[in-house]
Amino acid sequence: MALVGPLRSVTFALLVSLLGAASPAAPEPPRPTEYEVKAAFLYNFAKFVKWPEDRSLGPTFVIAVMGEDPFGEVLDRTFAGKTIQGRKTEVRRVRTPTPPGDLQILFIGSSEKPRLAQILKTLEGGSALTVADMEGFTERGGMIAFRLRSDVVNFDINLDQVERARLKMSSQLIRLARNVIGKGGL
Amino acid sequence: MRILRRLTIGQKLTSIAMLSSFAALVSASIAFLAYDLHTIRQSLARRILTDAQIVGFNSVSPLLFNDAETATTTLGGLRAEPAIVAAIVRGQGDARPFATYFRDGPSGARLALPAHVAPGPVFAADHLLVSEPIRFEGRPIGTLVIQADLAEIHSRQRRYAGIVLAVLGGSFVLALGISRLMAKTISRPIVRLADTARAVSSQKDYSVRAPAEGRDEIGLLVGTFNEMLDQIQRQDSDLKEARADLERRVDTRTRDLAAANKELEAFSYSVSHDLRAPLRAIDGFSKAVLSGYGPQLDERGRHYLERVRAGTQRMAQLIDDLLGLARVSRRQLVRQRVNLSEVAGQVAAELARRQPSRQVRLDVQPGLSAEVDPHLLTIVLENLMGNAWKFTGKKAEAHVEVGQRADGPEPAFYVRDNGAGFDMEYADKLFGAFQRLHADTDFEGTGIGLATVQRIVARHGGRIWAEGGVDKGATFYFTLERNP
Repeated sequence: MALVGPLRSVTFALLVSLLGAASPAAPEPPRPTEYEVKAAFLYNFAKFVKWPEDRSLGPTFVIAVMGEDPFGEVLDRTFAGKTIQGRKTEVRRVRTPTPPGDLQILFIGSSEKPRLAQILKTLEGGSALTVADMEGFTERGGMIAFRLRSDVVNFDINLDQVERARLKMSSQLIRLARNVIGKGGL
Repeated sequence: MRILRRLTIGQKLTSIAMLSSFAALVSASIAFLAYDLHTIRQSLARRILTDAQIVGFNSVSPLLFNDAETATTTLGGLRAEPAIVAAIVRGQGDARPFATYFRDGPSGARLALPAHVAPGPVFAADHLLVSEPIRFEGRPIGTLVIQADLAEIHSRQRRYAGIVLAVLGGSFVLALGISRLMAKTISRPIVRLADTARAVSSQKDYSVRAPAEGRDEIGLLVGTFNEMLDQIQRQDSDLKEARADLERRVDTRTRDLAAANKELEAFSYSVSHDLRAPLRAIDGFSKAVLSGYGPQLDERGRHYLERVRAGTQRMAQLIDDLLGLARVSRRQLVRQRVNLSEVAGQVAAELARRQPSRQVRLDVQPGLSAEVDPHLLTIVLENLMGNAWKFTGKKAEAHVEVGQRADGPEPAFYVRDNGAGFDMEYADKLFGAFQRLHADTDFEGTGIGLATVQRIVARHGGRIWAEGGVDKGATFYFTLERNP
């Protein structure tokens, strides 16, 4: 787990607002860690993506982490008490991909890089948004890949994969991506 | 308004038309400008607000994903609105800008946008501030503030003001021309009427007429004025004719009267003169009978002859007085400055000499003088003072006073006594010839003296009148000069 240096405080501000946390009037609040930011991004992704209302969506909205977990309790705290697309959220740690409909967002830890192709294949036909920390994740069939450039977290998107999973991704999100693969990509 | 009074009617009418049309135009222009300013401000505010809403919406995801670069690009879209000078996005509760936009490049970055701006459009002197909250799922996550300059509005206002000024100037000239023309149609007949009136008044020429024009009130006025001139001209010529006729008649009468008067005077003079000869004969022979045959007559005969003599002497006196009256009328008037006080003194001395037994107190005001005929004045004073002497004859303390009354409408001389006086009821009979108010037995006299005095006073152009009462004395006032 790499704890990276201080991030821009605006990020903390948005985290604060998202988490509904303590007073923003605090004079010099501690800067959020990289994975606090990435956890917030995961929540925000869910806000700009629409899952199809069919059996791929269960009674709860499941955010799953596969392999090595870089978030720890940060992720649980981020999603605690939140609802997405009308469903309560649930954070799980899984070892293997589950059948379609069981999970909606899958964060694939860097430890799973060797088994990536197999994991992604398992997910085919389902509607899970795949997110990872790995270099070249989108080129290899993933949907959203986090990047870190000079202390700023951003991401790439593989729009073909998003559409194949029948997910509707808001243009507001797409235009923030540094690299977009597929339709409308640069 | 005092300036207005000095203007001619034409100028007044023009001024009235100009002022009212100018006032109407100016108020309309002000209303138009104010309405335009309001409208253009509203539309600018609405435009900027719409931009703010669009950009605010597009700033949601950059804020959420902390993507300042995209946020800056999004703000760059505001370049399409040239009025926007600057825009700034701040995260919720963050004083530092998250993304900024400056129309005029980094040099504009010095623009200090206030940290807290009330939501909605706020107009300042030279700029407009619009603050738009950025919300996501109903929660505020940031604020967008846009500053727009009002150069567009100001230049438009300047342009409009220029147009309004040009229109005002143009319509001023136009209105001036029109109102002058219109004013002339009203003022010209009035001016002509005034000229005519002036000609009539200064040259007394009632034959001129004001040129008639129009059927309005002024035309009516001109018509009435001309009718009045007609009447005045007619009356003027009638009057002239009547006056000429009157003068002719007066001349004739005066000539007739003068001739008759002369005849009468000549007649009375010759009669009086001719009467003296037989009278002298009667008196002379009566005297001769008395001296030659007196002793042969008895007492009664002598007494009768004495009565004859007294009668003839009295008649002679009457004839003398009548002749005096006639002379007074015929004599030429020669005026010179005469000292009245001196003459009164001489007359009083003569009276005292004639009746040395009388004790009369005399007061003559010193320094009385007048421009009169000295001979005639002496006759006046002789008569008036003689009367005073005579009618105080029965008073124990006789008092005669000669002076000049300073008060009253004219400075009149007077002769006052404390004698028998007269009844004011007969005051108008005092000056008639042969009119006597007292019995001959009480005070002797011919009744011609006051008539003579009145004749003299009248010839001097003066006036005589008397005041008095029975046993209360009499005062005779007279003036010797025509009233100035």
